[in-house]
Amino acid sequence: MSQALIRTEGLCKYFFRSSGLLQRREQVIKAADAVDVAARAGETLALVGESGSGKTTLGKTMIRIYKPTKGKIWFNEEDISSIVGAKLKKHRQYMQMVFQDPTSALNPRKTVVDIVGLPLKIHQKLSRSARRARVRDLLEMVELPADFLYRYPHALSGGQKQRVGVARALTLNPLLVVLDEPTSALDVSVQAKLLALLERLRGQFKLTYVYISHDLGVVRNISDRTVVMYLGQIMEAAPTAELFKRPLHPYTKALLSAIPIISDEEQDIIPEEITLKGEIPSPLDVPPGCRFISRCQEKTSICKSEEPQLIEIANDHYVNCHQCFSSSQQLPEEVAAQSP
Amino acid sequence: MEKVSRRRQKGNLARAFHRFKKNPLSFVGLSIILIMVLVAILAPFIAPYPRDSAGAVHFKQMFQPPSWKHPFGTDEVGRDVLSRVIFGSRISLMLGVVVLSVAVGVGVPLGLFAGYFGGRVESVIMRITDIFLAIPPLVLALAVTAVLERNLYNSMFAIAFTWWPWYTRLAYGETLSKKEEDFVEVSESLGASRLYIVFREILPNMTSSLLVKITLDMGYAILVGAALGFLGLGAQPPTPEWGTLVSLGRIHLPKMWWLSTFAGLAIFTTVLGFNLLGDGLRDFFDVEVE
Amino acid sequence: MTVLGIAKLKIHFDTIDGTAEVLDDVCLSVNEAEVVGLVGETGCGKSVTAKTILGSLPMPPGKVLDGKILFFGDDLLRLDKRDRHRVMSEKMSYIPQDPMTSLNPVFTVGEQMGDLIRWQGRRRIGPLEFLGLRRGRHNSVAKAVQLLDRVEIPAPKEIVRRYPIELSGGMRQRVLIAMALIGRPSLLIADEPTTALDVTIQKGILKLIEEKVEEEELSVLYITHNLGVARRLCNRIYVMYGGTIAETARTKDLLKAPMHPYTCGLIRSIPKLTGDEFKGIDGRIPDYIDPPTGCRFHPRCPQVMEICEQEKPELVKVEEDRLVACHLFSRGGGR
Repeated sequence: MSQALIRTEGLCKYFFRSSGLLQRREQVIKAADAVDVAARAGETLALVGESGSGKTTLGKTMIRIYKPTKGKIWFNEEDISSIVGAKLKKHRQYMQMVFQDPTSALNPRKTVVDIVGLPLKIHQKLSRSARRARVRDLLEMVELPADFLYRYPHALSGGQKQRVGVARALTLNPLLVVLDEPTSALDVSVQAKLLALLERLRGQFKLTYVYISHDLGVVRNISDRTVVMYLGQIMEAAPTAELFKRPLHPYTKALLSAIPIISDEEQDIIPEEITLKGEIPSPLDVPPGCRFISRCQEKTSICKSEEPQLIEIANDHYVNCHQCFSSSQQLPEEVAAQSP
Repeated sequence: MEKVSRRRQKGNLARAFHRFKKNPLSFVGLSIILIMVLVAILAPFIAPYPRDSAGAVHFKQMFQPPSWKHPFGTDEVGRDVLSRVIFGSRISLMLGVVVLSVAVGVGVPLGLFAGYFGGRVESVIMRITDIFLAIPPLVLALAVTAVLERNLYNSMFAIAFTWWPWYTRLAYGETLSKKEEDFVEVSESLGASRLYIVFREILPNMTSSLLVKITLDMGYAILVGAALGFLGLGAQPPTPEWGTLVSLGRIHLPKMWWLSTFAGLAIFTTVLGFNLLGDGLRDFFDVEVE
Repeated sequence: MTVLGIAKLKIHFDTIDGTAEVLDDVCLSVNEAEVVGLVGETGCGKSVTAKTILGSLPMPPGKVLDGKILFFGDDLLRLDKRDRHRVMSEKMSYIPQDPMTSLNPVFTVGEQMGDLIRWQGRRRIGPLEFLGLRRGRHNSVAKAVQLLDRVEIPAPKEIVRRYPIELSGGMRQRVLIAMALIGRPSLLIADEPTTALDVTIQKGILKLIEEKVEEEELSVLYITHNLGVARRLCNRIYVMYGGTIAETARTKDLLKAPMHPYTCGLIRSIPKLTGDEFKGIDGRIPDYIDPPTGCRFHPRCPQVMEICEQEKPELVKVEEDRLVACHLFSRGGGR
C-alpha cells in the first residue's frame, strides 16, 4: 500500500467575522472542521459536496493557500501546517491549484506567456527567453497552439482558458494538483476533453490529484477515492467504486438520487429515491449533534444530541453517522472475513 | 477536423477605434487637447511677439483693440495678448501635468496599500485621506499658499496637496474589489511578493478608471490653478498665466474687454476639451468591461 | 393543440465584426399540457430563441429575416406592440435563470409579488391609481402568501416580509416560480432555472415544476444544457446546435437511440454513473459571422460526407414525433 503523499489530521479552518452594532460580537464560520483525509501518490482523491460543504476550503487549506486554524497537514510525512517564509515558498512548488472560474483565474491584463510564466519568474531565475521556451512547451502539453503565447484571456474560450490554468499549475513540475471544480463552467463536450487531458497528464507526470466537485458523475469516472462533505465535515469516505456500489450515509444517498441521470442503466445504480427537504443550513448556525440532522430522513434521538464519529465500517470505507453504524452491526462478520 | 474561419478577426486596435468613433464629441475633445498641446510645445514659434510673454513693454501700443496686427489686442503695457495667451497654455498644461503626476504618484500607491494590506495600514491611510477629503480643495489650496511665498511652483504644490486623496480613495475602492479575484489568489499561492501583487496584478486592472479620472481632473486642476492665479496667489505678473491675465484685465472691463476675455476663453476651451475627452473615454471603457 | 409554434425562424445580429447569423431556420412547437425541452450547449442559440419569443432581444442590432412565432395562432413577430403585450402578459410567463440577480434587492418579496398581482398586464398605471390602491394592499399580501404556500415555501407569512438577500438560492427560485404563475399563464418559458442551484436543491425545484405543470395544466418550454434535467421533466426534446435544430424526438426515444451525430456526441460526452467511457466532441462551435457552408456541424462530425459541406440538411420526419436534420437520414442517406 503506497504512502500518502498528503494527509490531514484534525484539520480545521475557521473564518471569523465581527458583527453586531459595534462589531463586538464575533461569529465563527467553521468552514472545515476536524477533517482527516489522505491522498496517495498517483491517485485521484475526490472531495464532493454542495455549497457550504467546505470542500473548496479544505482543498485550499491543504495546500496552504489558507492558513489552517487548527490541526496538521503532512506532505510526504513532513509537517507543513505552520511553516512560513522560504520554507513555505519552497513547498509551494510541489502543490499547485487549478481554479474553478477560468475567467477570474487569469489576469485580464496579462498575456498567456506572462500568466503561465509567473511561477517561473517567482521561483526560478530564468531569463525571459528561457521562460518563453518553457511556456511554449507547456502550451503544447495542454494542446494549445504556440501562437497563444501573446494572447489575452478575453480572446480565449472557456475551455482554452482552463487549459492555460492547467499549464500554469504544471509549470513548476508539482507533485500534487488541487483542481477546484475545473469543469463546472464548461459545456459538457468541452468538459470531456479537458478531463481526458487531465488524465493523460496525470499518467505522464505521475501527478496526484485532489479533485473538488459537486458532480458525482464526473467523480465516478475519474477518482480512485471519494470523500463526501457536508457543512465542513466528512460524511462518508471510501474507494470510489465501493462508495457508488454501497453508499451508506443518508446524505450520500440523497446526493446520488439527485443527479440528473440520462440512462436507465444509471437509474439502477441509484439506491433509492430521496428528495431532501429544506435548505443547507447556514454555516453560522451549525446544529448540535449531527450536522445533517435538519434534512435527514433517518434520524433518531441520538442524532440530535451526540455528534457522530467517522468510523471505518468496512475496508477503507468510513462513515460519519449514528444510523449507519448501528445498522451495520451485521457487517462485522463480513469485515472479519475480508480483512487480511 | 476543425475548420479555421476564413474571416480575419478585426484587430484590437481597430475595434477600439470603432468604439471610440461612436461618440463624436470625444473626438472634439481629443482635437482640442491635441491643439492645445501643440500650441504649448510650439509657443515660441507660433506666437507673433514671443518677448511679450515676459517682461517686454511697449507703452506706445497699450490698450489696442483686436486687429490684424494684434488679433487679441494689446494689454495695459502694450503687450500682445495673443502671444501671452499662447504662452499661458504652457503654464496651465504644465500645472495640470505636475499636479496630477504628484497626486497620482502619491495617492494611488497609498490607496493600493490601504486596500491590500488592510489592518492598521488601512486605518491610518484612510483616516488621513478622509480628513483631507473633508476640506474643500480650493480652501485648502488657499490656506497652503497663504503660508508659502506666492509663486507658480507653490501653487502647484498646494493644489497637488489637496488632490491626492481622491486618487487614494479611487485606488482603495478598486483594490478592495480586485483583490478578491482568483488571479490574485493564484499569485499569492505561488508566493509572489506583496509588492508584486499590488503593482503588477492589481494596478494594471484599474488603469481604465484611472485614465478617465486623470483626464477629467486635468481640466479641473487647470481651473483651480487659474482660480488661484485669479486671486493673485499663483503665478505673479509678468508671468502670463491665464487666471492672472483674467484678473489683471478685470478692472478694465467692459471697455477693454479683450484683456480678460481671451484668457477666459482659453481656460474654458481647454477644460471643455478635457471634459469631453474624459467622458468619451469613460463610455469607451464601459463597453470594454463587458 | 399547438400553444407555441416557431416556423423557420431566421435571425441575424449586427456586430462590429460583421453580421452574425445566429438563428437559421429554427422550428419547434409546444402543445397543450406538454413540457418541451430545448437543449444545447453554450452559443447554440437557445437563449436567443427564448429572448425572441419574449420580445426582449434588442432589435436594432438584431433583425428577423424570416419565420413566424405563432402563439395561440397569433404571429408574435407581426403583432403590434400593444396586442403583443396583451397576449403575452395574459398567457405567457417566464422563469429566469439566475435567482440571485432576478429579484429586486431593495423591495421585499411581498412588495414585488404585490406589484405583479395588482398590476400585471397593465401597460399604464395612472398616478392616482398608484396611490389610491392602498386599500387593496392587504389583499395582495394575502394572495402572495397563498401563492408562496403553493410553491411549498415554509412559513410564507414570514417570507413575504423578507428581502431577497435574506433568502437562499432555492427559496428565491421558488419565489420566482410563484411570481411566474400569478397570472395563470398557459405557457411558461423556463430559462435554465436550476443551473445556479445545488443539486439536492435542484431536485426539489424540478419536482415542484413537475407538480405545477400537472396541477395547472401548463405548457412549458424548458431551456437547458443539461440532458439529465431534460430527461426528468420533458416529454419531448429539441437538440439545438449552431443556431438550428439538429434533432427532436420524444425524450425516451432521443436518449435511448439518438440519431444526429451531434446528439450522439453530446450523450457520449456525459460521464455516467455506470463508469462507461466518455469522450467529447472535437472542434469548436461555429463562427456565426462566417458559418460553415451546408450543415453547420459538418466540420466536427465524425460521420461527415461530401454532401454535408454543400447542402444544408432539412428537418425531416423519420418517425412519429421524430425529426432529424442530417443527410444521413434524409432520403435514405444522401443522394
